[in-house]
Amino acid sequence: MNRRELVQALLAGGGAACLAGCAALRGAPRTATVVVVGGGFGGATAAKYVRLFSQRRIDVVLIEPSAQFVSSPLSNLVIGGTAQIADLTRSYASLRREHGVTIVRDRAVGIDAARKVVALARGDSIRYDKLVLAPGISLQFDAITGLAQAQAAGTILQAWAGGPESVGLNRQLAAMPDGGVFAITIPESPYRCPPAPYERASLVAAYFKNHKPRSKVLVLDANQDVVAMGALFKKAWADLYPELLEYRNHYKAVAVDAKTLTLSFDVQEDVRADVLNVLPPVRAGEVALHAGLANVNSRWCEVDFSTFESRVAKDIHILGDSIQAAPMMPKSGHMANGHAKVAAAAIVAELQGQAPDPQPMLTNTCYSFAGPDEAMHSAAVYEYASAAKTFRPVAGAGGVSAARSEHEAREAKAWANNIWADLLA
Amino acid sequence: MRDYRDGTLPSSIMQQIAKGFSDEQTDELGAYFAARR
Repeated sequence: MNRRELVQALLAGGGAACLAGCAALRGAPRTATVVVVGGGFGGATAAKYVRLFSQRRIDVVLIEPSAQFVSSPLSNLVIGGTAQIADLTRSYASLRREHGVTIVRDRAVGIDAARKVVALARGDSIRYDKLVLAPGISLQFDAITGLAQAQAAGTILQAWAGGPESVGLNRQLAAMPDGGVFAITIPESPYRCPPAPYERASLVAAYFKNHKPRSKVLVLDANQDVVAMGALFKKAWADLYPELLEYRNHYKAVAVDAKTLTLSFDVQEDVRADVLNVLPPVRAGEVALHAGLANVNSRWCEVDFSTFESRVAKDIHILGDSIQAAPMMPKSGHMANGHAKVAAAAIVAELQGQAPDPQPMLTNTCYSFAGPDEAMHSAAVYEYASAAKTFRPVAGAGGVSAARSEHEAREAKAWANNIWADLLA
Repeated sequence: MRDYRDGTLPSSIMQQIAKGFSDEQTDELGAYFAARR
């Protein structure tokens, strides 16, 4: 943002932040009541809903390095070539314009929980009363020998956060000769978006079917079986891609050779392919790891599920894929959007001297495409169980599609447009 | 919402979601959406 926009944003966001922040040369205010790190499904929602729930009385600063929001949900359509990245890109402007959120385009690199200060890459630091951390995931490249170098060279992509790598993987597939092999490796659960690797395999198979019919998709899964919507995916593969797609379970990748495009596994024989998409294990986002908030196996951040406050540090609320999830709760954009609303309501209640909602509810919906024009869903409703201090699925609710359909492909796109509007507009 | 929940209104996903909420919560949801019209 430029200086004029900053002043306007700060005026909209609250005078106290302006007095401190307008003097800062690089544009970050020095203090804010609520600072949100990360403008994805969790963070953008939290920023907006703290403003809504407080009737704009609580000032909010959102720290996000990207100029625009780019959705990971639907990004497999970009890989398969039936959507453009622009279709999944939205502006952050209305968070500022409509809701008075101050947006600082920078990356949070450190947190001092004792002094309640978050440090930014360009040198500024912001003091907070409440910090919301929604840093997404980080990829554990060191879990697969050779992967970091192959990734840095651009030879083997992950495309696990949407954006440029989705386009890059699409280009690799477009450049692959007919008759080639695309191999995708899937890490052990839990990882971000359980059905996404299977959706990706399906959409690449659809691309091959239409453009390169002698080619093959190999799904190499570290898990015992398809992790999400298994029966629906297997039926789609048998119906639509019987010669094109092969699924193998118990394939845990341990090394890659970028020169020969060969994968090695813990038990199974090596596999060579023409385009590789190697998904390593994931854990909490970098800034949460560095701040010592990932107290579960050094991977995930434990939270109090009634407020999403960290179990490690007071006044730090953590959302989305970085948390140690409740039982049966997937790491999804929809869940992060729900986490954010529960956390925003709890933060506003606390700052206004009220008790948080004792019985928060969450819902989840994951849509998956089986082909460019057919999709299916998995849904669940969760209630907070105060005795057990966790969320659990409401018995009798939720479920999966009876069958994939064109109708649900339209619903999947409507879901995306609605949730993007919910977190940004 | 109640029609979705008991299947009077056919749906792909709304019944599965609506079944997760009590009568009281369903009324609150209905009041919220009615007020937004």
